[in-house]
Amino acid sequence: MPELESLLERLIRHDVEFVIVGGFAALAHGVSLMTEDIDICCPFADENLRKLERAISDLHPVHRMTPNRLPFQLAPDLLPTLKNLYLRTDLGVLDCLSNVKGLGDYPAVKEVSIPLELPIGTCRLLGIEALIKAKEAMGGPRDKQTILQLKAIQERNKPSGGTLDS
Amino acid sequence: MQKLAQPMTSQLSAWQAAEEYGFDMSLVEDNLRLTPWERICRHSRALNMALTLREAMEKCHAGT
Repeated sequence: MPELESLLERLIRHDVEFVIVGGFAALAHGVSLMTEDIDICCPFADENLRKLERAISDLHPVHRMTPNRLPFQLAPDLLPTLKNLYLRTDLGVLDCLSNVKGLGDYPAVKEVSIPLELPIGTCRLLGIEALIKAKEAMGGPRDKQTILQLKAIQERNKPSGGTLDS
Repeated sequence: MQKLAQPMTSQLSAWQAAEEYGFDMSLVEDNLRLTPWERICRHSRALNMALTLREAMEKCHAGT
């Protein structure tokens, strides 16, 4: 069974640099739709990917999009070619993106993120306005449903400034 | 659930538009009373329940 919060805790504990995006970000903002994975946007620099590898190495990570579910191992020659990682681990699915459609690369995504203080540590979460923009760029039926709820939450949060507490 | 982007929804507030679409916004209301961490943990429990049910249904169908 997935334990997405434990997967998130590992990323924080191993000091992986990332911003939570996608459906998991939407649920942190209050959306009631279910998601089965964690999507993160992160720098694909060697050091950060090595931290990611260490964070999940004992969770039997595999490339879930490859036909034979190849084990996730960072071969030095592979590192510069990586753009996205679609992984399955014992704690759940983790998708790592170097770019977010509608927003751009990691620095651009970080710019529109907010700190998220959690009992397990601090990480960054895509801000609600940026999340709406990203979902609009994706444009699928599920994205449109998420946008409806995000806009409602944004409207509800406006008087108080819409800050997130742990 | 209703079709997306109906003309009448443009006159509604975003909250009303989501309700009009068919979402039970009391669930979102409940979520907004929780902290993000509580939302994540609650979602995790619900996801596990949903996956357990899915697995049970798959076993059930496989046996018929």
